[in-house]
Amino acid sequence: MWDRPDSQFYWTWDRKIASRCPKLKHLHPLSLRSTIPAMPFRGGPLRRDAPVARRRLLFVMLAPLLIPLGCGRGQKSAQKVVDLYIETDGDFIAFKTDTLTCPTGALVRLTFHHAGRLVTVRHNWLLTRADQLEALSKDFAANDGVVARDDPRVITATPLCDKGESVMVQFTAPSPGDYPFLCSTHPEDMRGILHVTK
Amino acid sequence: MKPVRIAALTTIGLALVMASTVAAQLKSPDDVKTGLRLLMQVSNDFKRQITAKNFARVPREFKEYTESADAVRTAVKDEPAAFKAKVESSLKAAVAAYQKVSDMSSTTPDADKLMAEHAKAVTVMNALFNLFPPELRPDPNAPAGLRGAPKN
Repeated sequence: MWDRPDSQFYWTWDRKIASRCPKLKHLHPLSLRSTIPAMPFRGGPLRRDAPVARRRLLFVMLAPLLIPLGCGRGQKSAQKVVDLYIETDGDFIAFKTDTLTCPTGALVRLTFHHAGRLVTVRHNWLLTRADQLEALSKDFAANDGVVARDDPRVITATPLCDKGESVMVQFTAPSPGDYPFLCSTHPEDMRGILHVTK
Repeated sequence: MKPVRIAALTTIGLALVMASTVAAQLKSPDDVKTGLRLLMQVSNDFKRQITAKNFARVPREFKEYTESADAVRTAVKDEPAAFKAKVESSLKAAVAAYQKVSDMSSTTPDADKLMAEHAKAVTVMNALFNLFPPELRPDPNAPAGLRGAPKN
């Protein structure tokens, strides 16, 4: 950006990039491409060899936008991250390892692998509360394992997964306790427990 | 002891010895065990769907059953031709029996009738299992996920 000698805009904010990244667009309410050149800087648009004062002015303008971003990252990195892995017992209707453990409040990144090779059947991994397990299982048995997006009984769930594939879900570990997990397409057979520790 | 009884006992003994010999000679016993266990697993799913009156899902179970049957075929592909022929014949009979259950689920969605037909299919499947040594046969009474083999 800064090395384009013929550029009129040494700070570029490409609209194409902005349209691809709506989050960035949102974070930057000014359309810099159209606004900055129009700003009444004496001596024309900003250049690489512009006086230091202009760069400072630009810095002061951008700082309020960037500081919240930095603070947000700091909070996320402070959260403990736990990677968990679980898979099916090959083509059989069972989780291989039916117990998982993580500390409360941790950011859990769970990978679920469908280790089947022979039979075309889909599985997923879904976390719920102990007092909801049976009702949820009954509903899944009746509705072909369809997980409603807004079902309050579901803490989190991976998408359904075909044989040989892996899916991932990320969630914050709930308060300490034992939480059952299951596969929504085999709610009675594929079950396990997530132990959330203090 | 009468000669007839002695002959019968000898025959049974020889059959058992032959069965164990087949087990010892199977090229891929683990694959065979997996295939048979899958057949049992899917058969139990048939039963579960019928009991829950989810008749629309029975044909999907049949698809899984045929895939499990293919797994057994693949597992015995290197076995002697005579044994393969026996297995193939029993597999065809079992698949046909479960197909009948599957077809009935759409034409006659009656849980009792389907359960009766399923019971017949299980009998045909058990005949297939009997071709293999006992240690490779799935345990129908084992809990889900543990049918026929210990969980790793």
